[in-house]
Amino acid sequence: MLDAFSRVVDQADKKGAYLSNDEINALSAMVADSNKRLDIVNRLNANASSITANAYRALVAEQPQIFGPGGACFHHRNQAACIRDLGFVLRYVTYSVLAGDASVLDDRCLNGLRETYQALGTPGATVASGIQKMKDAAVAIANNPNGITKGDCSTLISELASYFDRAAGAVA
Amino acid sequence: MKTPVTESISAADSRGAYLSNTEMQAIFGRFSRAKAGLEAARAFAANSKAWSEAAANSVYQKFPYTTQLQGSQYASTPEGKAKCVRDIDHYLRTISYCCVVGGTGPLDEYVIAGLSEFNAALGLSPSWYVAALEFVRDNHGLSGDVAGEANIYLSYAINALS
Repeated sequence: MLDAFSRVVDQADKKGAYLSNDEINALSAMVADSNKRLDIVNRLNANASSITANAYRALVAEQPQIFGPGGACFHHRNQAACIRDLGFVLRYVTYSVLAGDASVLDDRCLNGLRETYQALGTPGATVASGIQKMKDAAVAIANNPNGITKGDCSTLISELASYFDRAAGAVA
Repeated sequence: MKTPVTESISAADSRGAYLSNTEMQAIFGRFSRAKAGLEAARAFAANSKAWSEAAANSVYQKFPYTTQLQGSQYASTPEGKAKCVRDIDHYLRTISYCCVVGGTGPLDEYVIAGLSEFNAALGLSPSWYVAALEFVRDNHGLSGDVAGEANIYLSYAINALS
C-alpha cells in the first residue's frame, strides 16, 4: 500500500533520483490542504451507514427486477451481501482519500472483484450503479458548505469522485 | 510501504472498520510535521553531491587504510572512490525519502533488508558508512524542525548499521 508521499518516493527511487522541487511543492500543497482532507474523511465516516443504506434503497427503486423474484439479488441473504459490499467500497474509498492514493482501494478491494462477481452471478453493472449513487451522496456530504468557513475544495472533491469512479469501473 | 498513514489504515482495515479517532489523530499529527520533512528532503536534494563527497573524505581521514587497501571496492583508486561516494549518496537519497514519507519505510525496504549480507559478500565494513552518516548528521547545517526530521532518519540508519 502506498500513500501520496510514498507513491512519489517509489517513482523517484526507480529513477535513482532525489525528489524534484516540483514534486516537493506538489506534496507541500497537499499537506497545506490536509485539514480539508481529514474533514472529508470524518464526514464520510460519520455518515457511512446512511450513505450505503440510501444508495441501496435508490438502487432497488431503479432496478426492481434485480431485487425481486427471479432476480440475482432476491432474498435477504443476497440483499444483505449487497449492502455489505457497498459498505466495503465506501470504506476503502475513505482509506484512499486519507492516503491520497488509490493503491489501497485497488490492492485490498477491487483486484479480482469483477471475477468474484462473475463467479457468483452478481450483476456488476448493478453494483456499479450503486457505487455511483454512493458517490453522489458522498460528494454532497463532503461539499456541504453549511457551518464551516468556505474555501476551495474542488480538487479534493474531484479526487473523492475519482475513487468511486475507479471502483464502479472495476466491476461494471 | 510502511508510513504513518498506511500503518493507521492497515490497523483500521484489520478490524474492518473506519479509522478510529486515535488513528485519525495520528494522521493529523503526521500532516502537521510533514512540512519540515519535505523541507529536509529539499535540502538533501540540493546538497547531495557536496555532502556525499565531504562525507567520503571524512571517512578517508578517519580510516586512512581504506585508501590503501588494494581492490576495486576500496578507495585506493579513483574508481573505488567514486563507488564510495555513490554508495553514500544512495544512503542519503533513501534517508531523504524517509523525510518525505515521514517514516522508516524506504530505509527498511530499500537499504536495511539484506544489508549485512550485502556488505559481508562484498567485503565492505558498515563502520565506514556509519562514519559517513555521522559526518553528514554533524555537518549538514540544518536547524530547527528540518534538522530534527533529517536527524531522525540519519540516526536510524546509523543504528541499523552499527
